[in-house]
Amino acid sequence: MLKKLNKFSPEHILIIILLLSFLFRNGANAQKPTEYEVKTAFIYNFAKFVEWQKIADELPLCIIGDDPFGPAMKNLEGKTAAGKRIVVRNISSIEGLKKCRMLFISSSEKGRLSEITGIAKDMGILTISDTESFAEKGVVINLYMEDDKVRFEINIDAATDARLQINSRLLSLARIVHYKNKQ
Amino acid sequence: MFKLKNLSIKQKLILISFSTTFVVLLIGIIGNIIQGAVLFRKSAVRNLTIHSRIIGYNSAAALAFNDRESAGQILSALKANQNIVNAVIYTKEGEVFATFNRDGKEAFSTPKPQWRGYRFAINHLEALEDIVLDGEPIGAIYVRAELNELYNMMTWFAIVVGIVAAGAFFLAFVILTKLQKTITTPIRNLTEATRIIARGDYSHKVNIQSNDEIKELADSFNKMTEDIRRYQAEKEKILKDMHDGIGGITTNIKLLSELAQKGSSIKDMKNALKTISGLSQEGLTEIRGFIQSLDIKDTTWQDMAAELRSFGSNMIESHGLMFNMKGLIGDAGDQPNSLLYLNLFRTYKEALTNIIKHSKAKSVDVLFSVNKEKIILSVKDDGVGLKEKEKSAGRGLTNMIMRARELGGQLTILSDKGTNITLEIFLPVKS
Repeated sequence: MLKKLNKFSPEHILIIILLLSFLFRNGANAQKPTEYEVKTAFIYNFAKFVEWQKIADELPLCIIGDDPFGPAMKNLEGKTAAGKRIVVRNISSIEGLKKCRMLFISSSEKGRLSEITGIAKDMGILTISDTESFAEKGVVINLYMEDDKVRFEINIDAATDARLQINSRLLSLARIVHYKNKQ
Repeated sequence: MFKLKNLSIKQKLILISFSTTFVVLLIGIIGNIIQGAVLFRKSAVRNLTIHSRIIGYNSAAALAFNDRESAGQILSALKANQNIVNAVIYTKEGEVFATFNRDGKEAFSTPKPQWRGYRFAINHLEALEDIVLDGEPIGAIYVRAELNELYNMMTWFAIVVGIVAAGAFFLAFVILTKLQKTITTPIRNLTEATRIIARGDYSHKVNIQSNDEIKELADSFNKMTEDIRRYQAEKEKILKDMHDGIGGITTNIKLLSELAQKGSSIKDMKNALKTISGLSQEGLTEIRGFIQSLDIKDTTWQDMAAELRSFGSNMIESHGLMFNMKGLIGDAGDQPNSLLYLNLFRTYKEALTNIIKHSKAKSVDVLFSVNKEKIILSVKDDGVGLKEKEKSAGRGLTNMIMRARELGGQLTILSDKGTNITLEIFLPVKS
């Protein structure tokens, strides 16, 4: 039941938080990280395992559609990964993609996913999602839950199409997927 | 008790060479083993550090994405290295994230130690390195290896070094045993030679093939025995001469005394006593000559010339004759020896006696010349000269000619107005 993460119920969230608290405890009094705090950390670390070419000092990280992260993602603002300073942007239109190098595609964008991934692929954007089957549909990295832990799958074809070089150490941790019914 | 001085030269040489070789080899072995131990230690540290860095690098992603299972799998790759018994990946906060414990070995998992680098213990080596991602430490990797293999390698190394050293020592033994003979054999020959000579065989020669100090010693030794032999021969000759000379005189005195005792007339007795007196005088002169000839150790040709002058002037001038002597002493190399001295003096005395007795001369001129080639003693008078018959038959002259031959010289007698007797002895003088 936990695999359908795009349909969170309050009970689910509670269970996830409780389970994650075992993984990310920082002393007895530390606050337990929420699911999206963990996912934010994952997205931040993804940036470290991708070779960023033809990029200036800034690494723009965009969120398209409904933002499930809340303040967690804003904490990444100004942090550096792979020597680049992360800039977090919320965008709604396809036009906004031009300014992005990493793009979190919210589950709300299911309708125009192929359009977004098509453009992102051409622009060499690292696309990330946390919605089931998004990877098979062209998102490079998709986060999912397994045994109460955040895991991720990588569409190796989509990464190749977007000319992204992903470190093998990251690939070794991921579940590798391919396009489903690719034309 | 063992004393070095009691050993033979051969034993001393072998002992000195072996102790030197042994000390040098021992220092070499110790140096080699220390160097080996240092290298093996360095190699072990490098090996472990490389492993820990590879594992640290590979587990960075697992640590970053909190994937303990993958971290455990990465650690399990350490199974391939038999020496590594434990490994731990720590989170940045120091919690144990993943562990590896070899089957059958004690498990190791403790909160993250605070040190970094490597540490040696008696039976293990441990390394602790940061796991770095994007320039930031995100955890640490601890690896512990047993040192059995290191100790085995060091033992084998020591065995091999020991075997090589033993071989080198044996080889040194063989070489030294051969080489020491080049020193001991000549010394043994020399020692043997001294024994033979000590038994009285002065003709024995030491034969040394080498060209070193021992050869020099042998040469000096040979020269010394040669000198002794010559001196011995000279001594024997002098004694024989003495026996012949003094013995003859004494026999004559004895015969004359007996005749005198039996004689009836006073005149005969007086004549006998006169002859005995002359013979006694001759005997005394002969003995003095012997003594002088035996005591010529440091006598030079100059001394000899002075002696001839003094003897001649005493003998000639006491009979009212004029005496002149000219000495031409050059560099003759050797000093005069006893035999030469004695014979030269006898010839001289004989010649002077003849002049006094028979020549009726008024003056005598003597020339004594010494140079590198020969010695010339010329005695010339202005007397009546010798008749042809006297030149060959006179007993005194025959003696002089014999003596000259013995010395390797010749005697020339010129007699016209007066007599000139010249004795030439060619150098080196025959012994």
